[in-house]
Amino acid sequence: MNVLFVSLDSLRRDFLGAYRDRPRPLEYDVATPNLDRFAERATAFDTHYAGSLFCMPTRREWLTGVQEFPWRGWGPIEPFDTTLPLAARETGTFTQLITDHYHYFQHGADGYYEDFNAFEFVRGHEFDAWRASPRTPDERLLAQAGAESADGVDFMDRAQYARNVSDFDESDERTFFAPKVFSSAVEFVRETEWDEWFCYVDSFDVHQPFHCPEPYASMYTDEDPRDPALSFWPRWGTVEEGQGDVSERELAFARAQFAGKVTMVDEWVGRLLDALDERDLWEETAVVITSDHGYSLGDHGYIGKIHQPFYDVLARTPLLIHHPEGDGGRVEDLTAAVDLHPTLLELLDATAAGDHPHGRSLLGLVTGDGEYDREWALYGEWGSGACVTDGRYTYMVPCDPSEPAPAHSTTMLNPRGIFLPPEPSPDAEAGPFLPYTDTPVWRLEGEAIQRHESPLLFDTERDPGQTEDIHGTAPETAERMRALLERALGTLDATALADRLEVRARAE
Amino acid sequence: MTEHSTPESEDGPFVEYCVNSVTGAERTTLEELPCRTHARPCLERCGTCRTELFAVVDGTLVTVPGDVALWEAVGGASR
Repeated sequence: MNVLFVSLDSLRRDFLGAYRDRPRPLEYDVATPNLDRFAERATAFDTHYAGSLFCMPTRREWLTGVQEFPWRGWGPIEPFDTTLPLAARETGTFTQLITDHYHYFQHGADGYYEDFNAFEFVRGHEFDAWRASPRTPDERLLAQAGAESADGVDFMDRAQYARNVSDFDESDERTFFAPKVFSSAVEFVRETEWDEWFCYVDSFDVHQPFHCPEPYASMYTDEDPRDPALSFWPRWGTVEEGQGDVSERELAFARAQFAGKVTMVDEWVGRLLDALDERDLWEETAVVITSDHGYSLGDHGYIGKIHQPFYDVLARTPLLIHHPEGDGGRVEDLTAAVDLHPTLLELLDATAAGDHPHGRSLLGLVTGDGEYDREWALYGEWGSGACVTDGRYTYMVPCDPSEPAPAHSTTMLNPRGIFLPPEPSPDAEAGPFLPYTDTPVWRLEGEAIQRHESPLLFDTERDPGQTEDIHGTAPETAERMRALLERALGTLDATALADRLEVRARAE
Repeated sequence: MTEHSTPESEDGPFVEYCVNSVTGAERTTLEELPCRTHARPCLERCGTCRTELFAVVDGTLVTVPGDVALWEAVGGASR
């Protein structure tokens, strides 16, 4: 069987018609006709949760089946990991990666593309170190990108984005990223001569910056989308104060540009679906479409993704799976991002070659002829507490920010400053510290981050917007969820994290 | 995100700092100033973060060569 795996970065599921008629923060509808028509063909998972946040940690879960955040943050594929393309090609399957996800090529992220037989890298998104000219980009682009300098040479400089897109035609969507990525995917599907293939299309869109070509830039706003006073790249933070402070007008514009990008991505996903139609591949191809996390657009008072508690707007993600023998319909069972690794291995008939310590295959839920049982889904970011859900209640426990967090890797990665050149840690210990491998790893330390001071508990069935913390008013549920978190961490042998969070000692 | 503030800081500046930049004693000093401080995992100023001490004070990037100057800059922003 062929497998087409599509990930759309930062795609909030409430922006998809398959999940919600109207996105939660908007007063207008957003068009996603192609993803909606795919959802009608596919099995739609209603209670799917991210695991290790954010971008690259999710990709390690998808590609290796390791639930990462209890032990490590952003970092490389480890020597003891078995990636999906490696497992697939050992069974004779041709493996192809098509992406504009430049994080694969930055400091701290090795091993994510090397196991594919072929990869296509569309250059220039966000901070990608691509174009050298013009030295000083267009002033309007610099302003809308929120660049603080015009020609600096620092890492992660917003002027680099303005430089990268300086020759893009804002009236021709084909010059932008998602169209390039999906055009390449269409070309692969139309022209491939391989009998069995695994194609991973990893689209950085709808990730920031929300810079859209027409017609999408004007589709959901009456503003001039090229007004230098309106940024397509708001800074992360609280919307009423600090660097995330935005006016109602600015927030409305950011929402409209995010919505436009969703519709643009949908249009080009549609062209990929058309290519599958043209070659009549649906009976021999499994197609998986998902996202790594969402993005707050004023939800809970935040804009962005990394400064706030892990509300469902970030952690509850879309998942659609087409299988030739699938029944379609909707699945309410609780599922997790880490489950995609064993699912894809099973689709690729590569379970013997793979290693999936933390996930379980979803294929039985798709075809209706297998067992699946998940009592909990564990999610969070390394060095920042932990969250658990039973599919209805979400329970979040903060860490103690005064205690450094241990990070484990065979490389001397930067636990913080993840995009920067690695720094030596001459006092680091090495040893077999991980419960799922005998391989010795470095134990490094990084600063811990507290996203909230005390545990949070939400009933997402009664309160899907998570507006009311019931931790103090539902003590029996709080205790049950604490015990569930303890059990989840215990199942993964993540006892050190359980101790650090005082999960076992916490009496609610 | 947890807000760290002193009793007299309710009207002080809103200070965000990256935990990769401001650490240890510098953080302790910062949190004792009459301002509302917020530790962040990243403020998307990684180049600055690598080379200079910095904070974002009421939304404005403040970079300085050393901690004393940073605290003076924070204090200046509050006046």
